[in-house]
Parts: sequence; C-alpha cells; structure tokens
Amino acid sequence: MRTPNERTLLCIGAAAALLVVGALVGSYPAYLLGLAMVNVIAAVGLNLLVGNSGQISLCHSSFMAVGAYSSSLLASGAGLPFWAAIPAGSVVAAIVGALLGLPARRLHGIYLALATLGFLQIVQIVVEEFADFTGGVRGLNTAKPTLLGSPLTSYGVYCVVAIVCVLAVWLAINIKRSRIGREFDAVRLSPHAAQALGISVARVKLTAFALSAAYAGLAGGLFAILVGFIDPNEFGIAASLRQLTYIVVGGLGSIGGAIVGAALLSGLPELLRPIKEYTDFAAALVLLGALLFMPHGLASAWQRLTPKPKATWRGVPA
Amino acid sequence: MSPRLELVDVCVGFGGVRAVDGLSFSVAASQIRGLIGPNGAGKTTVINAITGVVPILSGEIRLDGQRISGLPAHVISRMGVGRTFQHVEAFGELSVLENVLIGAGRAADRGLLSYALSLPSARASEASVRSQAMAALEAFDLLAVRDERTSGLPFGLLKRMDLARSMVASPKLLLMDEPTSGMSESEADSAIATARELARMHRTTLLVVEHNMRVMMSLAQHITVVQFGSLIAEGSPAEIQANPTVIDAYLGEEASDAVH
Repeated sequence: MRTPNERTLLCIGAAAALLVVGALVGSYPAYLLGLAMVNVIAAVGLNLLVGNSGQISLCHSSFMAVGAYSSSLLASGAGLPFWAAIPAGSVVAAIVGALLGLPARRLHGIYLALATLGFLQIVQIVVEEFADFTGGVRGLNTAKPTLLGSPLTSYGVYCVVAIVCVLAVWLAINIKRSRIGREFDAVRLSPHAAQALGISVARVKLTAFALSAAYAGLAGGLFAILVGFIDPNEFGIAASLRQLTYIVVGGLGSIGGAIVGAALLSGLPELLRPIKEYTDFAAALVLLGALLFMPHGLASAWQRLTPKPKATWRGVPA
Repeated sequence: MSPRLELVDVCVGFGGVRAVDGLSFSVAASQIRGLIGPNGAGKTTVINAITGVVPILSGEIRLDGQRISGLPAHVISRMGVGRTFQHVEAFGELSVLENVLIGAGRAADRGLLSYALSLPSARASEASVRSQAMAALEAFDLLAVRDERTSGLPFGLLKRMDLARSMVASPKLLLMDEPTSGMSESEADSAIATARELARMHRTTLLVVEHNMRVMMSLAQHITVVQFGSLIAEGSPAEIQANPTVIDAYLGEEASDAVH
C-alpha cells in the first residue's frame, strides 16, 4: 500500500510517460492507444459498480452513449468548448445513472441484468428515433475540438484523452481506498452486516450506479472527439459485453485489473487483424480461457506470482 | 431519566407465526442485561426488531426515550445501536483491519468528491478512522492478524473481530447475539472480560443473548427470560436460577444445579 502522495506522483509520472509515448509512436498507434484509454476509463467505472458494489450492469455502453451524444450536442448545438462539454456529458450520464439506480436498488442478479438490458434498448431506440438531433442510425459527425480558437491536432486530442484517463484512474484509486470504496465492498460482501454498521445499502447502490455512469459518460465524450463520429451501433450490447469482459479478465474489483484488461483486450482486434473474420471467436476464447485458468482475473494471478512481504502499517505510531 | 432501551408491547410476526408476542422490558443505561430462553423463543428476532432489520407489527421500541421502531436499520445503527452476529457476517474477502475500518467509518461522513480528490478534510477523517480501528484491534488483541483475509480465519477469532468491529464506533447500546458460541472456554472468558471492560469504559449498555449459562451468570447483572415470544421472568442471575418457572421452561434441574 502506497501513501496518497506516492500514488499522486506515480499518476503524474504515468501521464508524462503516456504523453511522450504518444508523441513517439506515430499518429495511428497513438489513436489506438487513445481508444484503449477510453476503454480503460469505462472499465474502471464499470469495475467500481460490478466488482466493488456487486451490481451487474449490461448497459454501461448506454451511459457511454449518453455522454457521447450529450457532449457532442452541447458542443455543436450550444457551442460549448470541448473541455466544458465533456465533463457536462459525464454529469448528464451520472444523473441518468442515478435515475436508473433508483429502481435498480431493489433488484439484484438476473433481474438487475434484465432491467439494465431493457435500459440499453431504450437508449438505442431513443438515439435512432430522434434522428434530427442524433443523426439516427446514420450517425453523427462531432464538432472538431478547439482550444483558444485553433483546432486541436490529433496529438492534442491524444493528450487530452491521456491526461483525463490518468486523472480518472487517480480519482478511482482515491475513492476505492476511502470509506466510499469500503462501503461498496461491504454492501457486496454482506448487506446485512453493512446496514448493522450504519451503512445505507440503498444509498451505496445508487452512488455506485451514478459514479460508474459518470465514468462511462466521460469515456463516451472522449470517444466522440477522438473518433470524430458516433453512431448507436458503437454503444450496443456488444460494447457492454466487451466492457464486462475487460473487468472479468482483468480482475473484478481491481483498478489495476480493469486497466490491464481493457488495455490488452482493446489491442486484441489489432493483433488479430490477419484473421479478421474470427475476431469475435478469438475474443470469446480469451474470455473462456481467462475464466478457466484465472477465475479471479489477471490481477489476482499477478498477486499469486509475486508474493509480497506483509504490508506494514503507516500513519499511526505503533 | 428514560431507560436506555425500552420495548413496549412489541409484536413481531412472520405470516401466521407470532415470533415476539407483546414483549415489554426496559434496560437502564450502562447495564449488562442477559436475554435467555429456549430455542425458538424469539431472542434473535428481538435483536432484529431493535436493529430495524425486521419490522414490528405493533408496540414501540425506544432508545433514550426516542422512538426508533420504524426507522431504517442504518439510521438506528448510527443513533448508537451496535450488534454482533451469531454467525459473524464477516466481509470475507477483506482483511481484519478493513472489516474494523468499515465499523469505524460511520463517524466520518464526508462527500464523495472530497474523498475522490483526497482533500485534506477527507485525509484527516481517514486518519482518525484508522487510528480508531487500530485502537480497537489492539484492545481485542487482533493486531497480529490485521492484514489477514477474514475468510480463512478460525471462528473464535472472527467472533472477536465482530466484537471489535461493532465496539469501534462506541455504541450506546450493543446487542450481542451469542457472543461466545464456537469459542473455547478460555477464549469465551477473555472475550467476556474485554466486553465488560469496554462496556464500562465507553458506558455501553449490553444486551446479551447467550446459551452458555456459565458465561451468562457471570456477565449479566440482570436477566430477562422469554418463551414463545413473551416475557416469563426477570431478575438478578441468582433470582433467575431459583425461579421455578424458568427452571421448568429452560434451565432444567440439571443445568440449574450445574451453575451453582
């Protein structure tokens, strides 16, 4: 366990390294890296909900859609600059997430999965039917992000994505290490004991839904400026399942697992380009293999390979 | 002054069954009260009703004169009603320290954003919660196992963790559901000694459900006996041991002799 200041320094170092790497690798690899980082943000948010608070969601990609469309429309329609539109899209997603969380507090397991699947369908239909605003199934070209009057270069967009990604991970680590994170775990592991210890199970579930939706919304907004084009297909059930695969392969409840799972599996389609027709098949094989051989994900496999000396207590004199 | 805990004509039912039927008793502040009765007498249901986990059909439950029946369980807990579980209910994947931190956390309620941004206020509250948790681990002799996952630990140790987890927030009233079940005699004695000492230090009122009569007679200052969800006797441990109704319903001649 590191101290908060060490974690912060580590994150600043990671951001600097990502900026350097993005400048060195050329524009297409940097674009792929950007997409991977968008997936990392979504996966980290989903893991807080599924891995920590213990609620299943099949509509994470819908919150990504909410963030992507609302930030794009705020940028093109209301003329908001991207640095205001993207956080605003994240807030809109969080509000929608909280609204969905209200009925979801009473559901769990398969019922919650079905309810979230229903929500996914609703978002798909809304996007398709309100074609005047969203472009419908034909998609929407998003406004080019500009900073101080001049348009951002593709490396500029990459830098935005990288910095926001590291910031989002830093926030998630702080949350997970705090009382909020412990409450998420408590509600997953024993709601009965949690409420006896003064935790409002309903409020924790709602918080987890809103928080994970905020992460998805942020990822959606970044996706929109990175790709420059969004359509409902991008945010369908396949995307939700892909995001679940990231955190299951990486390790449920682990931020490091979500990062590694999302980064590795985002790269998989590129590696499988020679056998393009079989990409989905190969992805399913990876998921099956991970479940069979590392049921608790890469994160716990890593922990088993590197046994650490017992963590020592810091902060309180013995 | 109103009693710490007061049950007035409380009824709890599941379907057609009355688990608690018109039960009234009160516990003065800082008292150690025993609650005994045969299996199925409704003892755990009484604890669940006080903590708000099961709704009551009629009657009223008061804490320091204030009605708590009908409030959500977590609100009752935050008002100072702690409990321990017969089967511990540990957060299995978490360490002993993390379990106790969750119990300690209730006093420190900051907003999500201050935790996310690791603001000084959030750090200060985390630090104070941690030092409380460490003090509780020390008091219950759990420091050596603080980083162990609770899922693999022996039951007696988990019982101690459960006690530490509920005492860390210094509740006004602690409801203990069979605190020494699954413990060896010496473990039971030391756990009871710790509970008594902490109750005295924190002025916590204890309501203890316990089948081990040896433990009960030495711990409780006053005992309430229930059968079929109703009160059948109340008095000092000596009075209860001599009470013919209690001997008949619960203790039996042999058990009554054994504790003498």
